[in-house]
Amino acid sequence: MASYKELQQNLVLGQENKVEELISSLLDSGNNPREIMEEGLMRGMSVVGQKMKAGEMFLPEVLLSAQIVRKCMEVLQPLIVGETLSTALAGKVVIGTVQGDVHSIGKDIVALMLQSAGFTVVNLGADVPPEKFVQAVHQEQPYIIGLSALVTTTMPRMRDVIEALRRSNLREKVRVMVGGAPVTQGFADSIGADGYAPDAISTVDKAKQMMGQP
Amino acid sequence: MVEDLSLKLLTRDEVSTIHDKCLYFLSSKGVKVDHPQALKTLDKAGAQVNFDDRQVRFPRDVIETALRSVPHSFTLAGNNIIPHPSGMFYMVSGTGARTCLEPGSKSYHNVTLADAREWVQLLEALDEVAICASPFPTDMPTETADIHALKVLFENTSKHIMVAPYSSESIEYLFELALVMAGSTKALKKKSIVTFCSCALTPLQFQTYNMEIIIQSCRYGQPIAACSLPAAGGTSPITIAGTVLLSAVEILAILVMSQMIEPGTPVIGSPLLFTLDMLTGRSSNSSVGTCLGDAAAVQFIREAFHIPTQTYGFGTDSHIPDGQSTIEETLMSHLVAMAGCDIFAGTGHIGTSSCISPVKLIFDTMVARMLKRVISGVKVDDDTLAWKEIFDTVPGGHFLERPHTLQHCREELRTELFVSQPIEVWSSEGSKDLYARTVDKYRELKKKLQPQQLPEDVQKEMDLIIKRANERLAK
Repeated sequence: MASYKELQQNLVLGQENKVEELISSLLDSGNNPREIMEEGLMRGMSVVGQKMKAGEMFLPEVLLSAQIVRKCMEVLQPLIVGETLSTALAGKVVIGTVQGDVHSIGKDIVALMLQSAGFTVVNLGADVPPEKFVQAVHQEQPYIIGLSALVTTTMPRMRDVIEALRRSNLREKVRVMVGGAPVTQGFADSIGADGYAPDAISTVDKAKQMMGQP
Repeated sequence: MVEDLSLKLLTRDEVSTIHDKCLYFLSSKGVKVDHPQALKTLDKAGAQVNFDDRQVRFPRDVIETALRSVPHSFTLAGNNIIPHPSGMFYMVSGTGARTCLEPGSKSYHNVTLADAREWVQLLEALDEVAICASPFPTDMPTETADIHALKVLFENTSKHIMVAPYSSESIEYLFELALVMAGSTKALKKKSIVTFCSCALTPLQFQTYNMEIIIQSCRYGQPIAACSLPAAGGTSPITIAGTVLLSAVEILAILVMSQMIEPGTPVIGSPLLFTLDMLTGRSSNSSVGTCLGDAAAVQFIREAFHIPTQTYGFGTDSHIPDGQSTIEETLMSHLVAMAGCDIFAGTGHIGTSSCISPVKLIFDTMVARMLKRVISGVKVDDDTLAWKEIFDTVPGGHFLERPHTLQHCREELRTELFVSQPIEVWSSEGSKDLYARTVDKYRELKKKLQPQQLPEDVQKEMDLIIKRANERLAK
């Protein structure tokens, strides 16, 4: 008989077909879909997170497990009646590369890592003007916005975004986290950002910390 | 003596395969070019341009014409012929570092204009460094920092300069400074004083300002460093060969575009490879795989495109000059030297090119001297075989007082900062390790640093250009 332990293990191993099979079996046995999500998938991703920190799982392997979770959620979500799934997950983050900067890879890795950790991520892409960040905060009501810059000359745009949020009376409603190769803690402090992370892995930890999560 | 001490990572067939794939890719799929004027120019010159999605394909005959017109050799300021006539290499410091590791400490500070000035004077003082580039002066307006940096370069070195502009807006001022230094457009075209770096936005895109760099470099006849900076596993395939191929496509695209705009413009093929650490997501430019990729890319470009090459020769991912940085730079520099690289980038840089270190700079020059000695090989002739010396030797005798020994006693390299005393002497002098001895060397050099003496009118003109740039661009 399928068990949550088996589901977790196969999720960690990236065995998509087996995970889907186990979920079907658990549903057929009358298990609660929400319980399957929490005890099987979320706990499995928690193991993935621990293994990544311990250096036992590499980024592509972590992302594969996260991809499997996303696919399985498409099956489970309609069955979890009467609850908004965003409350089951870590929180919502809007992320983008600031105006004038077209580099995406670092920001996309962060987005994937946040999703793997259970955050809902709205990725605005690159070269995003301040107004678009403001609009996204209005529409999506994220807890955190993440600003990325790879080019030194575009770092000042991060300050512009913070100013735009302030002018729209949204500054107090959202936490601003910044990152990117030339960005430093000192710079983050100087522009009034709420958080800074030097790489993708620590971004997840910082985001959880900002949300008051372990 | 073996004349060509080289390392071939790719077979002839493999070079041919990669070459064919480059041609096929550029002719059938092409690259994206974000510069309306450049699109029109390329279209007129024979490229197949889709103005809606800005995708540009280059017919094979256009590519082959470009490969015939691009110079295989040219001379940089300081009378440095590239490729080096004796098969040696040139060193260049890196562009864009924002922090500096203070010699003798583990403290970092943001690079200032004063740091950039001292750095360039140090580069000028070190004979091994042939090409100078500046770190990013963080105390200058972000919008004009590259312009300030180029002025500092001109004021403090007579060597060839390498610049990576940061925006479309600063390019005109950078060329204005170069024109002032050269004296006229004609003089600038005659003499390569600055190489401008044009970087692909990997994968396979060319932004407005990087196209503008190509256009203006062509206009003024200055060499273009055709740079591709793929990160394996991120912006390029995870495999070394795949990253080499992608990098080659991008470099070939820049080469072809430059020749379509102005045939004969010098181009330096610059694969500057990175690897995304699959555990942390951090970029590395010094892992073993990356170094192999750099060497393979250099070999490919030399054999397929026949243009000078540049890649990382002295990088390290370590944040301090330590055992890791020594191992990395030794492995990297030897691999790319054996592959025949002409210009070694990353000199004096640590932390994956994000930070400058005067101590590392001096280390790098030492490794460079050792490497050049290796490359020059073992000469075998009547004199060096010392046949007569050996034949005439009395069993149990010695060679120390022989004329032959006297004649040759200064020829072999002595590495100045390495220990050559017995332990008792070394201990009595403070038991200093290499790092500490190099800090002492830096402090000695620092006392003798000085700027260039520029004519007053040139200095005045450059000051005016800076003033105008700040007024128009700085926010």
